[in-house]
Amino acid sequence: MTPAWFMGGLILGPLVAAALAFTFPKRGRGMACAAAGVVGIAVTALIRAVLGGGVSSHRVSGWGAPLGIDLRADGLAVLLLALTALIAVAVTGYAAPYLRATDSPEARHRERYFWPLLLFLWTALNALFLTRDLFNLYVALELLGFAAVALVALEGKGDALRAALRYLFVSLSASLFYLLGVALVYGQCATVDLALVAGRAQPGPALTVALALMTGGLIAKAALFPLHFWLPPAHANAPAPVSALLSALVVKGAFYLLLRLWFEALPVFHTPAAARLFGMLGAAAILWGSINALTQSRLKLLIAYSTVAQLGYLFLMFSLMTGRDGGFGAWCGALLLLGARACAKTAMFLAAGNILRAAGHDRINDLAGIAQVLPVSAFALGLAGVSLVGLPPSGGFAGKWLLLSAGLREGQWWGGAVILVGSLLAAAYIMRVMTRAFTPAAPGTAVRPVPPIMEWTALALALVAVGMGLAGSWLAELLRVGGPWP
Amino acid sequence: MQIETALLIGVLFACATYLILQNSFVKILFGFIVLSNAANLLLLSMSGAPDGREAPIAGQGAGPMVDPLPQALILTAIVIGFGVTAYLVVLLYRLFLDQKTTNAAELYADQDTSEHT
Repeated sequence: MTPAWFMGGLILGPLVAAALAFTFPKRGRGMACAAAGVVGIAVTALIRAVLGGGVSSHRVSGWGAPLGIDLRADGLAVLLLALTALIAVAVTGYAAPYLRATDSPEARHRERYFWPLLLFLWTALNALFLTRDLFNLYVALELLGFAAVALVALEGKGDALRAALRYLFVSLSASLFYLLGVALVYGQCATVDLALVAGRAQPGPALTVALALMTGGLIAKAALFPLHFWLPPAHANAPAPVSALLSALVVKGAFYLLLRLWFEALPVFHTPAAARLFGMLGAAAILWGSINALTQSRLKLLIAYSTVAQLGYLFLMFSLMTGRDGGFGAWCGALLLLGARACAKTAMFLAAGNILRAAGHDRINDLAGIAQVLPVSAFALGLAGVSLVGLPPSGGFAGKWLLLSAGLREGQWWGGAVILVGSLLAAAYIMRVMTRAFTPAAPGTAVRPVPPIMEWTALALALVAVGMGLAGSWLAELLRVGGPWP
Repeated sequence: MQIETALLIGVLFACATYLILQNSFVKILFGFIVLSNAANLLLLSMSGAPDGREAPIAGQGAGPMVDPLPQALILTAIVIGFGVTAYLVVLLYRLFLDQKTTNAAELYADQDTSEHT
């Protein structure tokens, strides 16, 4: 078994399972478990291959670039594949009892379409992380957008449909902008392979326009301030497992593509001015998202605005990638933050789903007593909050520390200041939820029971988010593979 | 040919933008169809001037051929565009059944104020 097999398995495994889950609706959960097994083995093997033998690549059906499609797995891709697998498995475990809660026609309908869509989403993400071909990335991006919009529309009525339509319009326009950029890049470089583009790119007006189009589209997909407006309604109106997937993975897919574009395909355009623009937008996202999170009255909207804020930290990294160590510290910090945030966000949305189920609402002001009936979920919410705020030894702390020290070393004190203010605001909105949740309830409050697995999945992910800080050096070692650092 | 194609792409983009900015669902839908066709045309135009070149068919013709890769790319893009259209039609139809309106302004009228409260 060569790495090519594992890369094929990562894309084909969930794809075949999705087709089967759609054909045999009653076997949806089984198919998701089978796909999780295949992907789990493939990711583990690929991590071993990358750590042992460097970047693995495969030419699909023997046609290499520039004509064919290359799959390449380096440290960054493998890390994100593993993160996707972890979160998808957790969501699978959570969604099974979540979807079975009531036996109505709507619930059966939801369950029928949830599993194929989850598996298509997983396929799209795996394909996105593995391909190095701008056009194939467009195909993966469209598949990802479709699966995500359909998942948001799963409820089939009211606010969910409206949020889904808005999301679809944004997603479609963004993909078309990206496609226009790809066309212009092909016109200039006569190739769509990332590595070849990097070799042939000459700074000029055509490539500048191409990069601006692609970046604009991807920023809308990644919900960077000020193009984040579609995110809160879409994430807040989706079912809990879907919100978790969208917040943890889908927006990160577009961010990943931006990393590939700016640091691998067209690094010639990463000038101080562009870096500063990204840094400014990131800083604005942190402040705007945190302040909005603080003023929300519903828990899911609070978490969704907090996602907007957290995405800002990732874009701050662009302005810090100019250091003498080649920006490796900032790079590791941002990706560690991405991983810890993805786990913490999933844990929060899953815990919010539990609260919604138990109490029947997610109004923050009426959450009193929830910690007594759902102690595990409340604990998960708190632990995820610890990672969001960035208290040691959580992954959030390690990531922020690396970003902060990179910012101070480069003399970009304003970035550091924004990180600290953002952390304070995060602490404020987390404490706002926690103080309500731990207030004793008035006696006689009726709550619906929540299956234990739903509570423990949330807690497990929160623990991963906190524990990720301890695995920082291993992650840095992985990230070095295939990167431009010695 | 190049100038005409460029002009056509520009006109299509202008029409698409105008249509997408309308309130009616059907106009927005047409806008997206036109937009995806404009993008496809841009992809096609990247194969360069076709004057004096032959169609890229294996085993035929001896002279210089048109670059076949953009044609392969737009084939995929057309299929995706078709999927997008079908998807959009179904979602708009479901919204119409659910909300009894085909006007985007009406659809989001209350949401823009209630979101922040």
